Amino acid sequence: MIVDSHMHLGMSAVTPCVDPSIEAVLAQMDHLGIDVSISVGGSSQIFGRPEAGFETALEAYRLSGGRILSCAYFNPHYAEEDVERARRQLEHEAFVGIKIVGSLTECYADDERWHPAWRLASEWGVPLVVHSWWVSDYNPRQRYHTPDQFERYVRAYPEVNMILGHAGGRYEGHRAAAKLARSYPNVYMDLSGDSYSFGLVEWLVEQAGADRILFGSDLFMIDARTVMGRVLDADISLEAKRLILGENAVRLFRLM
Amino acid sequence: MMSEKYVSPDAQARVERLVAEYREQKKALRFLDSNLWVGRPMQPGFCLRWDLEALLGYMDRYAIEGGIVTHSAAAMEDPYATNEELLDWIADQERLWGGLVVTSELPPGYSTWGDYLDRAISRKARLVRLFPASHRFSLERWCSGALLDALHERRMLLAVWHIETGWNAIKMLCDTYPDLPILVEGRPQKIVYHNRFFYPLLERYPNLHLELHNLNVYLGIEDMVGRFGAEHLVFGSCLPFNDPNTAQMMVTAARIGDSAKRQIAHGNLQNLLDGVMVP
Ligand SMILES: [Zn+2]
Repeated sequence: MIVDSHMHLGMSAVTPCVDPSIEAVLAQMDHLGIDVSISVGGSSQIFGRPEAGFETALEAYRLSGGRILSCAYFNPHYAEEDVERARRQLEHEAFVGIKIVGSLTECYADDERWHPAWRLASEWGVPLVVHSWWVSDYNPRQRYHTPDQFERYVRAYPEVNMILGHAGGRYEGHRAAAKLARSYPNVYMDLSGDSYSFGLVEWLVEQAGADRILFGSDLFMIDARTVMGRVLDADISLEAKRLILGENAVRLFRLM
Repeated sequence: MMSEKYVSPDAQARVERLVAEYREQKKALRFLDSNLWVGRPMQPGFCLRWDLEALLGYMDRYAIEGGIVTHSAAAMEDPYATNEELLDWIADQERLWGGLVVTSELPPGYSTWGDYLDRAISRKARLVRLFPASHRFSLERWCSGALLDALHERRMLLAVWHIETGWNAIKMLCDTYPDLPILVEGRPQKIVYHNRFFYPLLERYPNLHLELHNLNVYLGIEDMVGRFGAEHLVFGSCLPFNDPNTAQMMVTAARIGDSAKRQIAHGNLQNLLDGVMVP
């Protein structure tokens, strides 16, 4: 089974999208042989229309015959409301995890205010997908969620499986992500995003093990082919490719 | 919760088949690469070997038949000395052409750009990559006119990273030098957020090309080929900084016709190489 474990339903004015429709997502999944996609925060969920985002997630689940799943999204500035909604969402089989993003909420990853999200993930036994990246001159907002900042929570909630979205994002971030994954058994990394360093897939497998790495695209922004080709052609074993392309996601998100 | 319809009884065989098919498709497309690098960079990332022999090995391994290569130190160190070193390195390499880095200043010892470029072209240089922001010069005629005229006359490829200039300047280049092939590359930032700039330009200027290594827009290849034709897209990998598979699978698995795939993988770049005036 092939699982895109990190995509987003919807669209954003900031990042032009050719076709944000659920039908286009499904056509692309069929074309590439992707069996299941997990929306880790649709644009409506993230940008401020959470109930509309809830509807979109349900519609995608329905239209796809259960192949497009979603995460509940938690914004710490609306903690009570978002916990209540997440509970309603996680009761539905379309929802399989929880997503948090530090930069968009301007809340550092080790801030007190993230406790409710971690508690929810613990209560419901679902993975917590977090955006992770590294700071660069042209993207200082990424300072909110470098991989090392998650250590406090990873330690406090050993029962919660955390997936570092984008595996730390850039060279130094990848090093920090791999270090965290080596230190804690509940830390995973996904390959989504646009960090295309030569040798990265092989390096992550060597550092953290193929059972900690998940295939993901970051669609509606980034095309899944940019990630899939790197996994298919990597200098790693077939078994490692199988784990990364789907089996780790099946296990973590309990897709069977 | 999920039904058994997702359980593949032969998961290993399926992945094995996908890998084999993908590698076959790559070979069949005979990739020609506009964006190869050689020589030790300051930040090597996860790649340990940067010499020419290593690069040729990577090209074989990733099914890249040939391409244009630039010296990794050229944009930071003395560009003219590193250009010379590069042209020495590739002199006997049939699969490789040279990508130079120059500034708006004439190279030492030359009184015209024509002399410098003709000599470099005769030593297999085919592309010039400019860094107007980092090297602090303008692409306007008052500053770079002599260089751009000489490139234009020779139909030499002009490559530029989009963050090193602006789309207004790129538009000016397309307007002023209609026979100059311009290749915009998305390094180090992807061009995914810039559609609204380059779509109107692609519609107007046949000499504008986008390089693929960071052109990762979801469904972007299909959309651009549908609107503007395949002529504007040129395969480039940024190997060994980047994994070439990023751009390669965007082509092998594109939902476009086979001839459009061949154009993007190698045909467009071959035409541009063939168009350079060799003295
Ligand atoms: Zn994302």
